[in-house]
Amino acid sequence: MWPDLQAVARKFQDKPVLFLAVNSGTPRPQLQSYLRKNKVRWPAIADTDRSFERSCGVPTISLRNIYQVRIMKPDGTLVATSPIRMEQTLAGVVGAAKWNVDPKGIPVSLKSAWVNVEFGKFALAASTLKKAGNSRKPEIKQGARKLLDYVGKKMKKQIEAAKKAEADGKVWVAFRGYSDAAVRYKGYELPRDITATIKKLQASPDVKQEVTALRILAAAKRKLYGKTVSSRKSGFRSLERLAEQQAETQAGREAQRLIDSLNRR
Amino acid sequence: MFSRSMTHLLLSTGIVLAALCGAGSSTAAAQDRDSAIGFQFPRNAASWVNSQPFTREQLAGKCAVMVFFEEG
Repeated sequence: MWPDLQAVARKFQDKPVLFLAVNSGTPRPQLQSYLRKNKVRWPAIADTDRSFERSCGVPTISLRNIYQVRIMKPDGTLVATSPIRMEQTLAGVVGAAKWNVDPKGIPVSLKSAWVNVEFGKFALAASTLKKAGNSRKPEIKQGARKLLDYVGKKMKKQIEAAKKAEADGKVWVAFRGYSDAAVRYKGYELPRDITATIKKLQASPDVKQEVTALRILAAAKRKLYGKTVSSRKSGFRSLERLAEQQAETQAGREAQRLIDSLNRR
Repeated sequence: MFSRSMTHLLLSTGIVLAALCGAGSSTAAAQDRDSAIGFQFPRNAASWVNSQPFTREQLAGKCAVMVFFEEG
């Protein structure tokens, strides 16, 4: 199956599409070994607890339902298809997908950095772009500048949103925005005071409460997907407490959503 | 630019955030047509092989083909 799927992927290699393998229920080391053996180099998700499978509305993958394909369209919606129909379905939706930076004028030496920028892996492209931005070769310098401008605009937008949230007293939103920017845009010209700002926000009671609630949620989820019935019951009770006692936090809301989804099953 | 403690802070916060996002925020019934469900990719790096985690925001405007399988 994988050679056929990879052949389809090659047909779309110059299109704005990412191919992902999602494995249900297998421990990560086993999955790594399987992917190596089958020469699958696609990004892969080890969906050990099948939560991703469920969130995508995929019927449980099993011996009776071995493969399922979902295509995320450019508008973010999912369309269900199969390995056999995959090429046809993708051909029908990929036309609406777009590159963020026109690949025309991007020199071959910057293609890898361009792909990283296109798929939001900005930090991975940082050192290449920084170096290329000072190149003596005009085409390399120009290509790098084009990509650096794009990343710079994205970073500025995110920092400005975090600043606005901070000014509006939305401390948790601001903290998340700055923290994410610090990781995502590592290697670029981040504001000099961003570390101090993150530290200051981290000390606020709101952020402390949110982080504590997230830790409780993480622990509850580990129990929820545990092997024993008592562990799962304990995890569910933790979720209920979290949803009730910390309803105003992000983790509290997520706990409630999780409870609702489990109750619907 | 980044102190070690700050990196540690971000990583530890990230782990918790990752756990949250890996929850699968909405479980929908099987759907064989277009859907606009709010799924999120796992943000925990330990849930990914061959790549760092992707987010939906990173893939905005693009297509993503996801092949679900059980062998392993």
